[in-house]
Amino acid sequence: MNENNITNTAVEINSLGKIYGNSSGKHFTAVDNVNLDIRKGEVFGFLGSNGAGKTTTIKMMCGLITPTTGRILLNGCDVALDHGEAMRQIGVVLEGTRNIYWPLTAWQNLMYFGSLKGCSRKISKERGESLLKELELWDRRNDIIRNFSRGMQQRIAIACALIADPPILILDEPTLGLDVEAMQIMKALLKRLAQDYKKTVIITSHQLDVVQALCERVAIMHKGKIIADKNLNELLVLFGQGYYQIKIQGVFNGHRNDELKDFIIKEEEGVTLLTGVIDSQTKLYTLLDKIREKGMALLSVSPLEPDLEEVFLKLVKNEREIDNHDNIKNYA
Amino acid sequence: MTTLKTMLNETYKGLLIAWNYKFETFLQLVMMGIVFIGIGFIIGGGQVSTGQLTYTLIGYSMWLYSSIVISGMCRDLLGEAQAGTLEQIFMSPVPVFLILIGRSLATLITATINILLFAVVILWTLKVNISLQWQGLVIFIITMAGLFGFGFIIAGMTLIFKRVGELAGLTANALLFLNGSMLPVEQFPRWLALVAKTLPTTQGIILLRDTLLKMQPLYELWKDGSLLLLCSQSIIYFGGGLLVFIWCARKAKLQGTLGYY
Repeated sequence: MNENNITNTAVEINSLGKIYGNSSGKHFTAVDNVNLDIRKGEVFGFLGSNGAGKTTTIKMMCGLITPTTGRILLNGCDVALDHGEAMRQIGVVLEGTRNIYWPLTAWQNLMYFGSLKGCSRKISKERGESLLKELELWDRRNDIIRNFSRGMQQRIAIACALIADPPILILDEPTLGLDVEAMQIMKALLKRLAQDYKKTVIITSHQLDVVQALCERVAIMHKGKIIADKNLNELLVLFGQGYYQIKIQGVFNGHRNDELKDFIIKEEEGVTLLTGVIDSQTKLYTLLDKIREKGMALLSVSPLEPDLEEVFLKLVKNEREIDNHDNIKNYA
Repeated sequence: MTTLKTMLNETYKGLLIAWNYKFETFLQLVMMGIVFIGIGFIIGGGQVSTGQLTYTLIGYSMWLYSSIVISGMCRDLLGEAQAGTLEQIFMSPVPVFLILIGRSLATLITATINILLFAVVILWTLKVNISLQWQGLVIFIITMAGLFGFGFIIAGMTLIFKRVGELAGLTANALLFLNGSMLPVEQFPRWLALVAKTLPTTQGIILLRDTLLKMQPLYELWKDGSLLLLCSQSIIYFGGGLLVFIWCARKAKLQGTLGYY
């Protein structure tokens, strides 16, 4: 234990790196010098394309992958040096797997995971009952998990992760494969966990609307590096600003030119919608002049509410362009 | 105390899951019986000799343990990796090798129930007579410690290489012929007998026959060094097996392949 116990930091990641090597001597850097502090009670979103390194980072936090460099503290407990105590700080549901025993009942699973995490039978029973009631699965406690719907199985997996009342909850793709209704239930549950139970929740997801709805802070990973780490609103304003929608009377076909090459153009019932980035007043007026020259009537110009998906795509696109540029330079 | 509870928790879970597969277990029991009678016919040259069956039953039962432990360790770990529960186990505050021991206890209990059922049916239907002695239980426990140690090695290999199911099956089947289950090791060529005696369960089978069939007391087995040999082998297998498992788990974490299957 160290000074972090009395600070406000739930997760502290310092200079974290993971390099995989194969038998032919080739090396691949999955995580590259990641530094991150996650505050207690924060709902933190971890985003990245496939292979960006977020699952490796999460698994290093859980002690399932040994880092090549750096260290991770969970509520002040070093994952490498104080594994047992560090593991008491987290409840984890990993991506794409069941996480629980399908041949057992919901209740048997809860009692098993309670004991696995070091809880007494009495505490496991009390918490198990309260969790199942909260998740509206109390009546199904003696049913075999195999017979549950995907959404119910996922809720039981989260209940098992919470059975020892860990202060930090790590969820890797918690809404993957859920239908709309199950996803809504899951979103409400995660919101309650953060707001009512003051848990630190770390979520990775490809479903950016889920992250946008739940997270206060978001980090975006690309090729093993964190390319953005900001409060959600800050990120949306910073990277989402300059998005406009221009509504014009008439069909725009045949009028495309260089100014419009990055715009999304939609035509519906005699109205054209132009959506894209306009980063200066000059560019906006130039564009409006072009529209006037074509003799088309301007209906409206409105700034768009940015969304996380656009920010994410924009950031990753920027990084890819930088990578390509570097590659061309190296080749030359 | 928490550690012991966690180990027993693992045992309890293993028993619950085994109960879910009771139909498959019953079929396995029937298969065990058919194979045993078949072996009896082959060894008896087309006839079933009660004396021969008594001798073979001890070896065959021990081989069944070997088969269940070796194949089971590998299959269970792969199954858990596939279900994602293996990674959950590795996130327990209790060291994972202790959980493995708890799990082994569940395997031992379920295997014992199965093999006892099989043995009782054989003893009753084929009029095979074995006098049960407490000395046999001591030999059995020591032998099992060595066998589970060997199972830990297979379990460790499963964490790294994943596809070791075939190897585990091959090893288990090879033991049927090499650990003296069917034929006494003394009848093997000298070099093969030497190899056979280093395998888990071989020495245990010899001593079980000595105690249950030849009625030799433990102190005599201790005096001639055969019990000491069994104890040494079991300690080496059990301790070595745990070390190999821990090393393999570290290697899998380093490679990032712990949850792969």
